[in-house]
Amino acid sequence: MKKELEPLIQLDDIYGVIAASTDGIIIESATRKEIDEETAAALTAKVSKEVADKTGIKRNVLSIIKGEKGYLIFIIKKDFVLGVIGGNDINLGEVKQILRKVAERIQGILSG
Amino acid sequence: MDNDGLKSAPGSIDVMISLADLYIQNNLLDQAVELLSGVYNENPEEPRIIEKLIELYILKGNETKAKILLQQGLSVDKNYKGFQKYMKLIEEEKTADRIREEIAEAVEVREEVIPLEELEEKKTLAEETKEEQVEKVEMVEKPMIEVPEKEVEENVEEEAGVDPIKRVLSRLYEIDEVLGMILSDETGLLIAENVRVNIDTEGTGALLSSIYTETVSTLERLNLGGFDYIIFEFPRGVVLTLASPPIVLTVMCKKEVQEGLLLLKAKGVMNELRNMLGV
Repeated sequence: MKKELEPLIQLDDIYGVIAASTDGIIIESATRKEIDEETAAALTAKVSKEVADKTGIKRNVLSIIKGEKGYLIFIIKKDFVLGVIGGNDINLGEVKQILRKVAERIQGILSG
Repeated sequence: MDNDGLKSAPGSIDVMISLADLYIQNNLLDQAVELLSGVYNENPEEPRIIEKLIELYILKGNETKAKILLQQGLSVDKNYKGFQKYMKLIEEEKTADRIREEIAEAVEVREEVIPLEELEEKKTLAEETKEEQVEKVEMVEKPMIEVPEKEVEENVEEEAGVDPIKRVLSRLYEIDEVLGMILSDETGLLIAENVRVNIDTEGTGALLSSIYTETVSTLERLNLGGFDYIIFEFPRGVVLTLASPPIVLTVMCKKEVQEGLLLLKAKGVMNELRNMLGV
């Protein structure tokens, strides 16, 4: 599973990639910068749950949250959420494209 | 021939203001706003109409709109007494309730109240076809106010009507895929909306504010700094939420929208709204 995250973690200015269950438990993660993976997984799952619950759309929603110092980007899939944390210099278009592909692959693995 | 008879007939404006006063006395504030909004569209620089609309929005409890109209009125005529009066009330930091009380008292003591039937009759006259209005104006030898043709066209093009916030929001419709915008405060209360689709704007605004609040704390905990924006790519559309506390702007679009263009335009609109609202 870790191998699946490589295309994302190798991109410019990415701090970390986390695949978590919808209740915030880490499935797999990879980091390049010191981030608290458990907190990141929990928060990503929490925000994605908020989005899913409030909008009623529970899968295939890609969210880009921009803060002053960087991005939290995640995609909600059926059984998990895949999130990326990065700095202001990431290439958003590239990250989105690869995030979708990686999420599809992980979904395939989990559906096994 | 000037095709805007109402603009050139000061008497018609007096009638409309008197009718609006009567509506106010009867607590029919929405009807008064509707009536004057139409007159305002024809006469966007008429201080008496702007003043009356300011009064109405204060009575309706919409201070934001009242302030925007006051700003606009001051740009038309900064020495107009009616605008000075509201400026003073605001400078004295009187609460909205106190201002409302003062307006209500003023409305009560107005001496000449025209009976409703008579006002409706005058209103009907004022709303006759434009050609007939011009003929009437010529008959009583009232001076015509020349309006450049271009200005008339621009006024007609103002699809958002009297609400200056809606007018700014409508600039986002330059992007074809935009379906609507909601402006709310951080707690989810609706400030303004301009939508082309049938949705519950109040509910949607509240819902997105709730997501926004959750997001703000998440960004802080992840050391990603203050909130800038969120883009949601749903299977059938895109939603952008921008915030500049205390206002939150949400734009709903078709999924084909170019997000970079959307973001640039929306940030421009947000800056304009911030300046307009003084936040």
